[in-house]
Amino acid sequence: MSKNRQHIKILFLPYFWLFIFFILPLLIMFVYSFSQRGTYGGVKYIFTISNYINSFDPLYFKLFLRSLTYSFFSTLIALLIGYPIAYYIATSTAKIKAILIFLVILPFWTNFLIRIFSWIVILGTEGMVNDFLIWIGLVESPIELLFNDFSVMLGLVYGVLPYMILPIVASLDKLDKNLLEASVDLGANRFETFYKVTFPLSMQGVVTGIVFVFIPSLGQFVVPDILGGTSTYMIGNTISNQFITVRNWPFGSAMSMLLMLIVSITISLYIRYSKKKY
Amino acid sequence: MKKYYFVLLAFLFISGCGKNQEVLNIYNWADYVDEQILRDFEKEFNCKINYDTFANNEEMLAKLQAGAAGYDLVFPTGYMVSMMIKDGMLAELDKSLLDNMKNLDEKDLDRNWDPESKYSLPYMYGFTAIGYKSDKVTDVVDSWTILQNPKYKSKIVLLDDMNEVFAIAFKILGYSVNDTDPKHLEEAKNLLLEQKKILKKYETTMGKDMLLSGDAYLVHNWTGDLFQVVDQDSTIKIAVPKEGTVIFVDNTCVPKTAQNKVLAMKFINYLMRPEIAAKNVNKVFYASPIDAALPMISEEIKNNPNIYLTKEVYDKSEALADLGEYTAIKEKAWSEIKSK
Repeated sequence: MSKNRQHIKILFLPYFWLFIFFILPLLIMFVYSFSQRGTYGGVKYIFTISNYINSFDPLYFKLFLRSLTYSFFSTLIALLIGYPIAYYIATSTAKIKAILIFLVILPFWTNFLIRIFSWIVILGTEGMVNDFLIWIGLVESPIELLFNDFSVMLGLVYGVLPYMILPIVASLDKLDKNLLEASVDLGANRFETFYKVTFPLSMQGVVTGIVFVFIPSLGQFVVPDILGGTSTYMIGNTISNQFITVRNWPFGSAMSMLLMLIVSITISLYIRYSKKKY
Repeated sequence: MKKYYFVLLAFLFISGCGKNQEVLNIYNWADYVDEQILRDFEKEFNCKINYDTFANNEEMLAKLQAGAAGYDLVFPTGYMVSMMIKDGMLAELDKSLLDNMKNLDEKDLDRNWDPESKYSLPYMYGFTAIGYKSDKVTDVVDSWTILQNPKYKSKIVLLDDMNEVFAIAFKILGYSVNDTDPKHLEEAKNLLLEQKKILKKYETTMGKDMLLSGDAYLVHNWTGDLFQVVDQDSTIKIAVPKEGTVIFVDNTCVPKTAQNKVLAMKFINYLMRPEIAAKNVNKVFYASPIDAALPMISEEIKNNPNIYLTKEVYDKSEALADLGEYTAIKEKAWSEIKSK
């Protein structure tokens, strides 16, 4: 009995934390989303569902589709790049593994905004990439690398890549090496071993990586804001715009709630499906 | 214990000083005054000035709304004055202490937020213009329509600012920048959607840097920002379109929470002395509404149409107004433009 009480005491802190920093802000947003906006910003607590009705404007649907496309491809590319890196890290010796994981984490020491801004210096008209391409004679005049779909996708993938690599490393690390030997003993070649044994067993890490990468990508607004051009506006930009410049907090809240709802449903379906299969 | 004794002594010393001398707490934009006039004011009125600066109106508003009660004098831009009046944050000015108002050229300057100067008086003004690379732009830059020229496709950057961008369209179409006719808004929206096809980006902070780095040849921005890059690259020029532009006026205002309102009025009055206004203009390169200061302002500033607009352009230029409920309709059109 007293042992159970002890548990409750220990759990109090994380629950308290969750309540203050997760449940409470969500509740505030939930209340805002059913309120009206004042003429000079601010929130009037008069019940309305118009914020939700306005969210179903085809305009925002289009932005949502664009965000979905960006997120899908950035997740796919992050997986294609991240998996081999994770595989290499997981199969390295302990010492090299430590160094490589350190290198993956290293960028986090610099502020995300600064890292995204630095791509402007790298990709600009007089940037390093263009200077190099002109120097080796591949192109005659600078090519447009910035402020388009390419630079946004690059920024997105660059930002989320560590979140894809780390869970996959963790799951590959736990892989029982005897299974690989057994597979080879039973006549599978290296490709078959990877395809039939290694990859399915690392699925847990892949699913985690996909979730970690897909969700933040969908709500992104910093990358399209800095690296984007005129047709790279995402749903996250609309929401942040409602909060910062337009000062229509109720409408921004309603859109955030909807986005969260859609993401939660998709992700929970996805996790349930992938759990059944593997 | 000895340590605390010293702290106590220090406090006594500071408060003792305060009793002899009045203190004026000023909250102004960064680099927006000739420091010497502050020292002169301290001497003349036997007081001490605490001078604090901000980088944008919203920062200033947030600090005041969060309860910073110490400021006696703030310098918000027109639209922000309007918001602060409606929010009941500003004290009425005491005109009996402001006899230098006679030097003010009130008739011309569009100040729709406070036409009777109950809460605010103009300090200095600037405007929106086009910065361009003179070695890359071969056409004459004297009209907003240069921003529609497909020759400069994806080398054009406009401010990421609803009112400023609509102002371009309204000026090209011949309407007021504060137009509130939904039909005109629709026309402006279509014009901007067409323009967007050759636009590189809507960008506020980095616009001037893109001009420097060669990522853009034509940048729509505020004169103050553009002057910063003109100094670094002589091929960069500034042009004010002949259709007229958006003028921003920064104002002197006294918050209701001010501790020393009388001294604040004296300082506002001091700023309106022609010789003081002239010193500020010569230092910070913005125009002053004090006409009597003109003879003391250097020729190169006075005759620079990017600081003192020509009469012709000035008459066609306007300040942004607070559109109240209509803002929501404009915002809808703006998000349509940005989302397409």
